[in-house]
Amino acid sequence: PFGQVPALQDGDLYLWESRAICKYVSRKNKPELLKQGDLKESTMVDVWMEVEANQYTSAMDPILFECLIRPMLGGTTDQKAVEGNLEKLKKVLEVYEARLTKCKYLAGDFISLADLNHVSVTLCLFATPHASALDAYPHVKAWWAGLMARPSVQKVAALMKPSA
Amino acid sequence: MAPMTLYGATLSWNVTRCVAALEEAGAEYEIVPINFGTGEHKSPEHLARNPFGQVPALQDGDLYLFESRAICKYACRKNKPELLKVGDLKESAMVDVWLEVEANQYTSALNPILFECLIRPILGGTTDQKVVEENLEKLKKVLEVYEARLTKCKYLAGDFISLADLNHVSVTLCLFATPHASVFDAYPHVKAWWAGLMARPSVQKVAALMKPSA
Repeated sequence: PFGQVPALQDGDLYLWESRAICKYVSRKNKPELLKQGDLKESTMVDVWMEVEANQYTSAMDPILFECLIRPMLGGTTDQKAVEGNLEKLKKVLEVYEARLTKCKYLAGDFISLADLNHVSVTLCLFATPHASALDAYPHVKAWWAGLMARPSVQKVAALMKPSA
Repeated sequence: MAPMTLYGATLSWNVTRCVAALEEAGAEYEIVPINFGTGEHKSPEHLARNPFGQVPALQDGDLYLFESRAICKYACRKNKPELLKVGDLKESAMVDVWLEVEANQYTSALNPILFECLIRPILGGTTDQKVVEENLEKLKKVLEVYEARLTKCKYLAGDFISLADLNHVSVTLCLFATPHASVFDAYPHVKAWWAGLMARPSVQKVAALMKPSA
């Protein structure tokens, strides 16, 4: 009803909002990605899913828009917006670096939807001139490399092909 | 069992978002304010609870959480999972959808309005009316969708109250503390839904805590 994408249809069920769709997929097919049934672990998944949305992607969105979408719309990249949000992103990556020094994945030592929800925007970052933003954060880079090795993530990368 | 501790000032609608959930879930909790004026949010003690140095944060025994919507879900999962319709694939999916809608559509339009009207003056600045007007227009488009939804269903996720409804409480109470509460007037089903929420003891508790004055 908001006229946006994505939307998902499964039989007579219609859903929208990407993160709700992602949760539905996990609940239906692989609930361990949400650690359903374990109060503490499912809570850590919830926390880091919120972090992806409110901290990581909120800093990334303007960078991706300015670098990838603006040119398609015939406009010029607003470098000031990019720089400002890169600074925000770095502060976020400092927190991620500390977290991933302690844990293999974001919610704990298990992969979860919290990690996967970072894939699409991070693949897009690598299509901008600013992929090097991750270089100062070795544990973040290792976490990303681990995600990139997964067949599911390779499938997304193949679909997304950086060129417009 | 020791009560949970919610850290943050009740001036923050992110903190009071959690209060609505904690109250409705029947959780035992206490609120400990964090003083931004003295930089307490950047203290090592608080950073251990919330590495982003923000509020709210929640402590329950040896579990530390942050991000208001994750805290709200925890309160429900622990004390009243029916607010999330845990175990029902379709209904929990609808709760998830409308939880996202609250964050991405409703509150994203409300936040700038609340900041300009309620926070800017506290910081000694002037309300940017242009920002308020633009976001009121965005909010109206969102309320049109809500009106259609609430014409079909008693609550947002279906004919049952859920965390999706409750997550709207703190920001909507704040809207009523601005000059722009009348934006709801054109949407009778939204007004009725809000009146229903306001009648709940949990919501009255949040309203009493928030007292519109700074």
